[in-house]
Amino acid sequence: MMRSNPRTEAALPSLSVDSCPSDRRPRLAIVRREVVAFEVESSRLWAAIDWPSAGVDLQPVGVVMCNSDDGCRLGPHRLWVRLAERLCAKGFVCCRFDYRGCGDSEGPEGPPPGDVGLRDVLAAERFLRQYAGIAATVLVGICYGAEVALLAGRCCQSVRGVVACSAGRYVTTEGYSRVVRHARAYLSGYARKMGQPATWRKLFKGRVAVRTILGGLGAVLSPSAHQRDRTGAAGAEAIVCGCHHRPPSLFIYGSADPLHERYAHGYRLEADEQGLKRSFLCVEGADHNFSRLVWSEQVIRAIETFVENSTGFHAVHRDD
Amino acid sequence: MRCIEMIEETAEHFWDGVGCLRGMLYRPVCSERPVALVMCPPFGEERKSAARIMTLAARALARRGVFVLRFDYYGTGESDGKLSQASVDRWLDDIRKARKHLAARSGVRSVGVLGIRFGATLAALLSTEQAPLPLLVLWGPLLWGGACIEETRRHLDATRLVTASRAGGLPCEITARSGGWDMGGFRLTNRFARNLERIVLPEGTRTRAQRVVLVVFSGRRDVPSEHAQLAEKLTTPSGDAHCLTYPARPFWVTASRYDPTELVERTCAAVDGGEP
Repeated sequence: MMRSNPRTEAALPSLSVDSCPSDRRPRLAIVRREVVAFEVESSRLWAAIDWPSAGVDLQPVGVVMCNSDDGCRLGPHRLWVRLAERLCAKGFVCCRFDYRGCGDSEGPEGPPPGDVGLRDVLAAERFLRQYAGIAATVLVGICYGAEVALLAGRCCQSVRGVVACSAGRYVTTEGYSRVVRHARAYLSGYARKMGQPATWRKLFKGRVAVRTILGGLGAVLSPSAHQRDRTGAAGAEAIVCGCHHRPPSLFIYGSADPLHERYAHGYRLEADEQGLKRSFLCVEGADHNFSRLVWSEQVIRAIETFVENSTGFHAVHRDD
Repeated sequence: MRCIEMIEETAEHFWDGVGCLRGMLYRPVCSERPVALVMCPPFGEERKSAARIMTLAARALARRGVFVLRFDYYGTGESDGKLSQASVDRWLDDIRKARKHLAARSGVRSVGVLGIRFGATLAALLSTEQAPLPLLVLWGPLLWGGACIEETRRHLDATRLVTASRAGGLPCEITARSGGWDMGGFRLTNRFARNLERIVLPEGTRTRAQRVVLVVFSGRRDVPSEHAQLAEKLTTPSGDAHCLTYPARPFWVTASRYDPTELVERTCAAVDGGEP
């Protein structure tokens, strides 16, 4: 079911809204972008709402994009902006937002703990439905954002589907602790590469940003991060406790992401055991962020197809 | 509009002739200084990494009474357009338009530029124009435009150190089909890449800005000679230049959080003319 796009017919609301004057709108624009703010637990979160342009019917399903915990609402290499433009061309309104303490949003500094991220996603989902006047959403996330999107999908009946890109197991307390898992994977990756002459050649030529590596390791090994994750995980689990909604999910991984096999395997097992509707896509050669055009294009196409199909999905409900 | 600790933050847009450029305006509520700053972001993945610092720095400056407009160039960030349609000249023009917009919105006539990384490189190029900039703040400028691509390659190589060997091809490579560059997920045209390569500081600069504050992120105590030379070249004979080294890891590459308070304080001290 499609309906006319209200934003192309009515004047825009006055709430911190940013939009092009209609008489000066680019002729080829497929998206109308507003930057808006909404409030969550006394913090203001900033979001970009991408609307289909005039002449494109608004679909009844919107898309909320969830970043990793160290990014902003643009996504890695502006992936969310490109994805939003593609989805808008097909009539889907999209919301990209910054978690508390990230990007433009207010809130305590530092990556949001799992429960905070989850509450922010739920608030963004609710905000998009109310603001756009739509009934349902699809959540799309990457890394940390993928996991909070999966959790949000469990406790929100209006979520028609979840796309989880490079989803880990950071937010819940299941399995290994984040520090151990992350550090183990990274250190083993570095150790493997140090045995290769090409690595040493790159190091001696200064072609590797060593400070980036040290910074990354420092972040995952930090005790404060560990404590924050444990507390956030417990909070997130408390929020989803007793929620039995299981929307269809698409998991996308890069084959060259050192963490993908472990996590994809875990999510597959869970799907088999619980009879969940989950599909998996492995992008050959891709890294964690799909940071090449050919990889990101595959991701965008897969998400487009999933979101288009989501208008006909029926969520799986479980009684346990 | 929102007032946080005596700052108002609003989403802004202005027209560049083809599309909308978007950004955020940080307006001081209580005290106002007679200077405003356009914040020019880095390019590529550094823009994402620097996002939070730019917000915090803009708020800190606004708390000190400085109007700040942070915006995205055409084809980047929240702004309209595709990167494949962008050019260095167009981005320089975007900064000019941002200055005009900020002057109109703030009522402040003296609008300077704070550039970060490639944004600093663009700001330095802009300062060579006829109309002298009242204030030019450069955080970690790239002395060579082609370093945008080179730095991206280095960071992706760092990432690839932990990825499996079956990841094929170089992250930054010329893709024959499009005739352009895949810079870690950003599509650059050959023309744009050539334009970047031609930018060489400080050789290509002349004196124009009235005051220059140059911040070099380095563990060294002294400012590297080429940066010091750049600051001198960018300053009018009657103006002054402050160079300072900031002994911390660059925030655009670090995965962990970064408190910019000291960086902003030292920058502001230099802007005020005191000892940084």
